[in-house]
Amino acid sequence: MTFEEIYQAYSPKVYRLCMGYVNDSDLAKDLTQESFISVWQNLSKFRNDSAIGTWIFRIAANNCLRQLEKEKWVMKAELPTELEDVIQEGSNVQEKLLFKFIAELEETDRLIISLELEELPQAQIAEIIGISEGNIRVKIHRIKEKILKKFQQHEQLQRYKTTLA
Amino acid sequence: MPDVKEIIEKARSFNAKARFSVLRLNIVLSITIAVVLGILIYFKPEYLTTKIGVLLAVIAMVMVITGQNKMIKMLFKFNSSEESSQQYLQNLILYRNRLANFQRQTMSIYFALLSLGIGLYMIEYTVRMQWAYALLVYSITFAWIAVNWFYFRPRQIKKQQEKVNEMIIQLERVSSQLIEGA
Repeated sequence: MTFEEIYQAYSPKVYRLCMGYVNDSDLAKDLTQESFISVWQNLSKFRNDSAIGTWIFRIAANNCLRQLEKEKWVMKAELPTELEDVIQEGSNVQEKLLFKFIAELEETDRLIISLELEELPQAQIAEIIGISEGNIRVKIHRIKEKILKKFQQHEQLQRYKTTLA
Repeated sequence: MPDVKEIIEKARSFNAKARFSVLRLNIVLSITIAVVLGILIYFKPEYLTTKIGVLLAVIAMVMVITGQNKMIKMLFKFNSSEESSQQYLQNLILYRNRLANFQRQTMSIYFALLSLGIGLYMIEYTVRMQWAYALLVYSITFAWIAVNWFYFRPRQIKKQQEKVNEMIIQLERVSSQLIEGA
């Protein structure tokens, strides 16, 4: 695969991963760009002992974590307005809410669930994050429960609002 | 989404910048040593203390610049493509800790060597002065060194440490999320 082909195939996925992590479309674009700069720089070192997808997502996930070192980095969980950009086409309320709820999770949980949503096998997620597959399975289960609970709370709130109106 | 050509261009300029920053440090180092040794050769000091003074100053500068070189090289060695997130976080923490130690220790040794060097260097020129002038020159010099040591050095160290410590706290917080069974 040439760099162009890799970029065409993976940039939307990497963008969604970054968006899940930072919940800020401009920052997610920057992170995607930085990740592909690393991909370009390291492409000659890429050995086929891991799938190219795993390799690219590992670069992107680490690049997201590097954000922790940037100054004045603020959590964007409270700003769902930023979400409009990523899900403009065919977006619905459920999708928007999902991104909002992901943004409220802990950093590593955000990465894990975003990778799961990209339909990566759990063994690959385990390899990228660096914990056991069993632990990934448990974490994904817990994250899904948390998100489900948030959806339920949201529905209850909506129902309450309609009754009041 | 940015254009693929834009990405390649940026990657190239990043590589060039990284190489240049190492090169620049080494050029600065070479020029500094050349200037100091040039002074030694040109002014031909007679006293051994002057020569030792110059040597100490050079050692101090070489120490800081080679230390910075080492830290930059360590940063370049980071490979986000071959490490899992957990390993990557650990490496970032290790790097930040080393940087904190480097800043604290090296800056103190640098100041000490440089002050001693200046003190020794001045002996040859002050012995020719009247003792009152000599005393004045030494007082002013050491007052300036004291201001640096007791005021600027701790302030600089504190500022750097606060920044680094904040980063380490954040990195460790996220790293702890990946502890098995947590």
